[in-house]
Amino acid sequence: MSKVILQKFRYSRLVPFLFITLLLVVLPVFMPKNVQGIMTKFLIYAVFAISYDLIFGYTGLVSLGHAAFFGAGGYAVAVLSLHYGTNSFWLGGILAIIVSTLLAVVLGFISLRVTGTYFLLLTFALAQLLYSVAWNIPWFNSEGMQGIARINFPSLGIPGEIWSDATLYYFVLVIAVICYYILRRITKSPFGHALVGIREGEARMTALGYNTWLYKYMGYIIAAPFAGMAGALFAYYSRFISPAQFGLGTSFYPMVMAIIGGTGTLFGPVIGAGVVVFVEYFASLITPERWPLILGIIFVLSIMYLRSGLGVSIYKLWQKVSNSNGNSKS
Amino acid sequence: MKKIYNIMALIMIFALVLTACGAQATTAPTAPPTVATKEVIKIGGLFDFTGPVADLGPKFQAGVELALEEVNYTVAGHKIELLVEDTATSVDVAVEKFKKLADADGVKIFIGPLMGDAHLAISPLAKEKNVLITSIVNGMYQTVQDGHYLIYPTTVDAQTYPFGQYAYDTLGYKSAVVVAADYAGKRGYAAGFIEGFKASGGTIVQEIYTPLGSPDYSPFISTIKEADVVMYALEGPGPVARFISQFKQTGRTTPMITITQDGDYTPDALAELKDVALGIKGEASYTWKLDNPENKKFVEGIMAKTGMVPSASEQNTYTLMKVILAGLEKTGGDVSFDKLFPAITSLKMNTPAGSLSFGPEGIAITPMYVTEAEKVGDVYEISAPLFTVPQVFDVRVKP
Amino acid sequence: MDFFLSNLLNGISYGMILFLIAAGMSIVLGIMGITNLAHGSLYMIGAYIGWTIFVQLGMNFWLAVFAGAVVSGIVGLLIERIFLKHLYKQVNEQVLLTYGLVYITTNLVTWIWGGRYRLQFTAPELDMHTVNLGSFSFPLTRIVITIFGIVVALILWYLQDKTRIGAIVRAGMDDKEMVQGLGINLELVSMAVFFVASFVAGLAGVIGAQLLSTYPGLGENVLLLTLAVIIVGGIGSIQGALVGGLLIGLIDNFGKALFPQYAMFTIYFAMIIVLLIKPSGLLGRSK
Repeated sequence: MSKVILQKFRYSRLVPFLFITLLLVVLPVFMPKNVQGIMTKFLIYAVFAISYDLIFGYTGLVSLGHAAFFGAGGYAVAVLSLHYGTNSFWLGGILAIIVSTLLAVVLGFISLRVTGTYFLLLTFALAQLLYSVAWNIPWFNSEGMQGIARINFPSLGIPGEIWSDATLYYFVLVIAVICYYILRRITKSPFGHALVGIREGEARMTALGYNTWLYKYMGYIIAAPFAGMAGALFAYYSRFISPAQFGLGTSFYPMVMAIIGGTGTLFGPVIGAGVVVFVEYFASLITPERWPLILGIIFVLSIMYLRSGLGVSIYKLWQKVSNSNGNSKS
Repeated sequence: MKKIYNIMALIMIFALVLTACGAQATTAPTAPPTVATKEVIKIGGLFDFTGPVADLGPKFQAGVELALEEVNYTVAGHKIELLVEDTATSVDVAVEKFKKLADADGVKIFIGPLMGDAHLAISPLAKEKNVLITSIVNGMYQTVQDGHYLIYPTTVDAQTYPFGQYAYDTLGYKSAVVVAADYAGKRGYAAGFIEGFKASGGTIVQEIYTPLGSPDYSPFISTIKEADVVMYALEGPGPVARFISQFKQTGRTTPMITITQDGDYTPDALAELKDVALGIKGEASYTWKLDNPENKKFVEGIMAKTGMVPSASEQNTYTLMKVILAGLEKTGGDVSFDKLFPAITSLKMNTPAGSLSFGPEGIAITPMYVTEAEKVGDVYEISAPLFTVPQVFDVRVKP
Repeated sequence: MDFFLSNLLNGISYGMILFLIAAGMSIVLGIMGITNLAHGSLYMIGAYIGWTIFVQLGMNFWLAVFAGAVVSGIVGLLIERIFLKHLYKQVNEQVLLTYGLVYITTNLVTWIWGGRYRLQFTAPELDMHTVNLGSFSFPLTRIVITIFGIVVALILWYLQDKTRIGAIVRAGMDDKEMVQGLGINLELVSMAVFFVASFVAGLAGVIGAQLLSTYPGLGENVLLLTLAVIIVGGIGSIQGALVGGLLIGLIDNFGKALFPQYAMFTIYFAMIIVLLIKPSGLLGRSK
């Protein structure tokens, strides 16, 4: 009997794993530079999206200001480049993590004083405030523009290192995998389950003795550094940062990606990120003027017909398939 | 069982197609096997077709196309291909499209984008990829250090400097209030005006910078101090019209002047602005009423193509395309940057906007005009030049 | 004195536009519990229809106002019937769906009318006419806007507080089953409320177009302003939207006049302070 279970396990896990490895690790070698670039962008937004999923999908906090941490991470890298002339990833990455976490400590404390729609609006207002700061304070801007340009590829301090679009892609891939793994561990931990419990019924959790506010606050703080790292990677990828990275549009991205892919699943937002990034890019090449229309239609259709999200639908499909397959083998 | 494999297969095919498509595009475009012909020259156009300045995209494209049509899309025996991408009035998108054209399509010559911020972001990348790129409505001095930009008609601050002097010397205004949109491009224009005005002896009484997309200028207007003139530099025809009407509605009679009038006073904008626009003099790098043979030919061409008279948008890309064509003639069709850039900067030619030459660093030397809106019969049009500065130099590079 | 008076009157008239925009969204969100991010787009549609009727076809301005309102009302109703009625209480889905609709409407508008900013337009009898108040003049258009705002506010307030319909709507949100149990067709009421909210948004669009430009990004920009108003004023009541609108209008005007270098910050500061002191907004119902 255990042999059957083992067979089932290996089969249903192995094939997707191989598939994903092929897609993310092998194929990009053969892709042209600009497609590698889009794959990099996809990974960056995937990290941003899974960071958001922790507070949105798992904890049920609808924030419209997650860009605050994304932008903070990006600006950390940018400021190091502009004012201190360094593109060292060790400095940039660590600073991005520290700044975004500290920001979350402050913003989370303020935002979590309220709930529901008010939480949504307050997170939005705080991110907009950071937008204004980035726009107006000269120290956060390269001369003659809004934002900071001339950011170079990251450097790991390895003598003789040469960076290209391809190396950046694999670098980002490694970081993305690490972030995913850590977040996966967090969501599967008792802490993660407590967050889900709060989403499902906060009153019940309080009755059980949990300090729900503290859990929400901790969740909010833990999600931030991942978004900050995504922002830092974005700065290295785009080679510049602008106040738009604090804006409403940026805050919407992870929410949209999470909903399309399936909230509260972690892999759902990854798929959602893929859908949004790739459709946006290729649609704009095919129809430079009408692509937002296509994107909007996809959003609307996915809500009307794929309620639990694209990622979840694929997962359920796979479950059905591998189960029936397993049965026929036994 | 079939379904999930179908989905997986679909994704695999999608990914392979991505790879193949892109890889194919990066290989040099092949000529038909039987006849040995020369390589196609690709020109990349980065214009905004969506976003706040969406209506300018088609105008810029029309200018480039007219220049190419005049030579039948051929230069030095090579065929020319024009690839246009939408930059969506966003710096992020502009950088992405630039990279796409440079990496996937092998483009080595770029016209646009419009936004100054985008120039600053793209400039170091242009240097890395060693491609040639031009601004289309003035450019930023900060890109000179990368040495890959053709800045036309000149830098933002140099463009308005002579107009600042004109305001004091010729129009006789001794004090001015400056109202400009708060972003790098317009601030640059304002800075040039302020420098010129002060250099002639004028006083700047007040500088007001308004947030982009301000729905209402009344609060700012209520703080405008007394001065001989108000100089405004706002994002586009909408804000300009709003500002002028709201200012006049307060009953104040202070005269107004402006800069980049050729960009704000397009024929369609004037048709809507009507009387509001009259009597305000402005700096312009071009007006379709300029009297020279190149312009006559150009205006005819644009009217035949678009049905409207041209504004600076069409002219700028038209002239830039002609400049590139002339450069390619000189290099015999060689698109490599190291040959093409010096070939272009050594050019001297007459354009619809007047004489044109370049400094070795890539900043164009062109005339500046003063124009105003006038009513001819029932139609509101931009006037012929009231004043001309034959050559505008950026003081930072003038020897 | 001039400075104070002109900013006061300008702030009030601008605030009235904000009220007209936000009123519909506040009611729909607070009373029906629907998050409709496309509300700003309904405003924009009204403005474009008004522009087409008045500027392009040269017809009467007041007809344009009515036409804009009606078309927006119908579009809003269609959105509710086709999409939103299936998403009862599902906030996430409403957010994504209506956000998708924003993308779609913005692009359709660009497709039909082009991307160019359309200039302000107003009835010829109002154009550039001013009223003299001592040493400065006040434009007639702003007075008209203010009057419109007051009239609409009174009508909506009357509907909300003094009529049976209003009571039903308010009760329906709190307890749907109960209201239906009383034999009231809640769906019909829901449709009516949504129509009215969208109608007002479209009306605001044309009225506001006397002051603001009309362009495809208007829907999104107006959305931001609307959020600011309902945060400050409170969700779910006409009074809240009015107070919020007027306050934001006044803060914006005085803020920009007194501290022009902080022009961008002023609204957000106001929002954050209100949210921290009284999160449900100044006149909002505490949850």
